[in-house]
Amino acid sequence: MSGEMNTLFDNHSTFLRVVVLLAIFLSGYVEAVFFKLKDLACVTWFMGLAALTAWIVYPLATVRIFIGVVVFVTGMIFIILYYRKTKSDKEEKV
Amino acid sequence: MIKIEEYSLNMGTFFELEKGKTTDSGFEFFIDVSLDSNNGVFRRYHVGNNPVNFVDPWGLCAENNKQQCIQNFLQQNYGNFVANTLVPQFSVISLYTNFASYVKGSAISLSVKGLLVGLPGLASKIATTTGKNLAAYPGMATASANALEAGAFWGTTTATAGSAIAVGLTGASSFATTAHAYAIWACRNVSD
Repeated sequence: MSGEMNTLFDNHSTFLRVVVLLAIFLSGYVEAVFFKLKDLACVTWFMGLAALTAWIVYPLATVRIFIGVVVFVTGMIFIILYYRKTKSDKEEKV
Repeated sequence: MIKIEEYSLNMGTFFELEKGKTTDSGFEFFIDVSLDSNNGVFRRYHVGNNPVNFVDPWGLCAENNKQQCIQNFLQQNYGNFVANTLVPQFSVISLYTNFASYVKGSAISLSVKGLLVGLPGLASKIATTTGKNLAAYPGMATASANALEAGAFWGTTTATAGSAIAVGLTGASSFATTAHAYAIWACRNVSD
């Protein structure tokens, strides 16, 4: 069973990595929209973003590091903006 | 006379033999043989009859490649749990280096979230909606209030569990990723 799984992972490695990352980001979306847990959603998205960055960066190469930094910084900006917007919305309601 | 020392990696036993004597250990697989030039003792390290699951658990082999070096480094510095479970499953670098274990870690995270956040969150939604609907009917004010109170309780439970999971997940993943990155850096001179 484990051998079959490893073969599956080897044959479809890129596709399956994308699926796993999509599942992580989607679970963050569910946490944010359905359960209204913005903090947990931001943590989930941060984990997914960090994993995506690590995947881009390794094996280490200058171009890969550059692209990884751009992706990570861009993602962090979006997460921080979303987090701050959520907090300001809460304060306005109060 | 040549002495042979045998080390069993899966049973944790040690015994010494003299050349020419037979062994009743029944072990088949040896992962390393070395000669201690100081006292002329041969050392044989074997992995019992299960070489797949007992791959050099004590780090006795030479570091043949980067992955083995990283594994040895993590085991020696942080112990078996971190090396075999925490880092492969919760380090974000594992998405690239150890995908199968990363999938397992992600599945565990999602399951824990589903159990501790999803179920109480769902209960909160159902109770709150029920309470709001009951309020529209005359004579159901008490039932409505009770349902809304239950919804508020499960809502608080969901939020608390969510915060706890966020802290735990961040802590575990940060530690695992840092340890993994440190091990990769320590093994930077070992070839793939």
